[in-house]
Amino acid sequence: MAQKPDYATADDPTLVKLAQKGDTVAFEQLVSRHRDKIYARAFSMLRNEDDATDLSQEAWVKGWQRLHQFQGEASFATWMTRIVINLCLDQLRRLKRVRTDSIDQMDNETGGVERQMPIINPNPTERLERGELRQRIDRALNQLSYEHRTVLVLHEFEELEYKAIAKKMGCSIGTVMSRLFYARRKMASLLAGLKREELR
Amino acid sequence: MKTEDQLRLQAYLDNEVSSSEARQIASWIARDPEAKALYDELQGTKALLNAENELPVTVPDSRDFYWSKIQREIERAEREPARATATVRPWWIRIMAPVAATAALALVLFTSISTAPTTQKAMGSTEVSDWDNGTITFRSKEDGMTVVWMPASVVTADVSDVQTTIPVEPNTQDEP
Amino acid sequence: MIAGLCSVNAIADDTKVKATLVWGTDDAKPSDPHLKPANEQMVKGLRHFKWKNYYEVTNVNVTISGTATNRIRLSPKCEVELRNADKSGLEAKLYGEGKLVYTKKGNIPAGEHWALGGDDPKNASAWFVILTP
Repeated sequence: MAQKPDYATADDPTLVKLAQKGDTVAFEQLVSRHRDKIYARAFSMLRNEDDATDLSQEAWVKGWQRLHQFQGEASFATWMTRIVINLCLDQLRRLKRVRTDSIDQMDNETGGVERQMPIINPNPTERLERGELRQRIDRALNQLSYEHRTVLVLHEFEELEYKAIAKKMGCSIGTVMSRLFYARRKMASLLAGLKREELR
Repeated sequence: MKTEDQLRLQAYLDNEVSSSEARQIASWIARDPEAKALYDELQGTKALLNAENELPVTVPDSRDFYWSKIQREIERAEREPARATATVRPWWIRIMAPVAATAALALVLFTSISTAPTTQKAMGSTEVSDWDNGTITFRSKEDGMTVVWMPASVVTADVSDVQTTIPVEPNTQDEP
Repeated sequence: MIAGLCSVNAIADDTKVKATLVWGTDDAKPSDPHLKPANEQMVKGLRHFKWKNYYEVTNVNVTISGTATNRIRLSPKCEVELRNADKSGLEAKLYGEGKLVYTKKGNIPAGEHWALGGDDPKNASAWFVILTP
């Protein structure tokens, strides 16, 4: 009689092989193992718990349906992250058509404001503990428009190149570069601003 | 400083320039205080924005509750494959010849070439396969061809350089 | 047993495959003498796409022996790697700029082709890698 695999200790490639043969328990183990990472990426892009939950679950369903296409060139977690990123980009495009984001409008109207920003001390967050730093970065990210936050997340956290980001976002490489530049300068300004407030 | 120069500094920071341009920019940074200041700021921000400094968040639902919805959706999708064809995205219409687009299903035999664990279908069934985050596979028995179409929006590497093998007009140039 | 595969040309141990890179465009024929209109039989299936003209860019014949892997360069950025995958038939891996883009496995029915294709938004054209056993 075939021995039941130890799902909890099996590595990802083993679980993927089992899931590819239809083993939903193996797939559930993969979900359990990586759900926070996939959810976190969705949340970083959508900034809404319910949307991030829905889209991350949709990503898992798509992952199951396309599991046979997973060839192992990247890790399973990376492959799933790509799926959820694409779903989030679709969602953001749909939302953009109806959204009246005042930050978006301001970004569109001012255009070029990043050229005039004063240079910021490159270490505005020194001496902060890691937890505090993460909170501040997260709050600053929340103040960016969806386009600027997306390009920052894809470049800095997902380490995609300009060309790959341009294809995913459906824009030119030049637009990616401009948005990334603006986003970085705005982040520097926001993080420096928070630091100055702390000193009062 | 001009916008294009600012973006060049950033591209240098991101290793998105050629090695010869990288040398030029490094030299520029070394002799121009304004360029150095901006580069330092960009570099400082980039150093902060890495995976370690992302705020860890966790799924708000319990493990069982989160999985139960996924499981239900998987089972629902497997019970209702016909609905998948009805919701095929029309984007593929844009790449079809006008006659084919208006009568696509009549002219082309769409075949599911799935090897998914629970959605195995016999060859000859009629269904559009939408796999790999947007690629589409279809077989035309009449024309003797199975086509896998990968739109540029989902392919992360450039395969489309057919024209670089052909002498082209001098004004075609890749973006920076 | 999968129904409908009676006429499948199962890939034998030594297999000859022709790999052709085809360019789809609405432009009139470019002046490059190496370009020629694509074989009509080969591109019959592409008539469902919107492009008016299809040209052969590169043509490579390869013999796949046993379990050997054959990597063919069709253009500076486009390569395809072919291998017999035993009972699964032919395995074709498409590479763009050295990165794996797509993997296709299966049997090519007798007298048929595979076409792996995509669009090039920069030039409003399309590329196809056509594999013919």
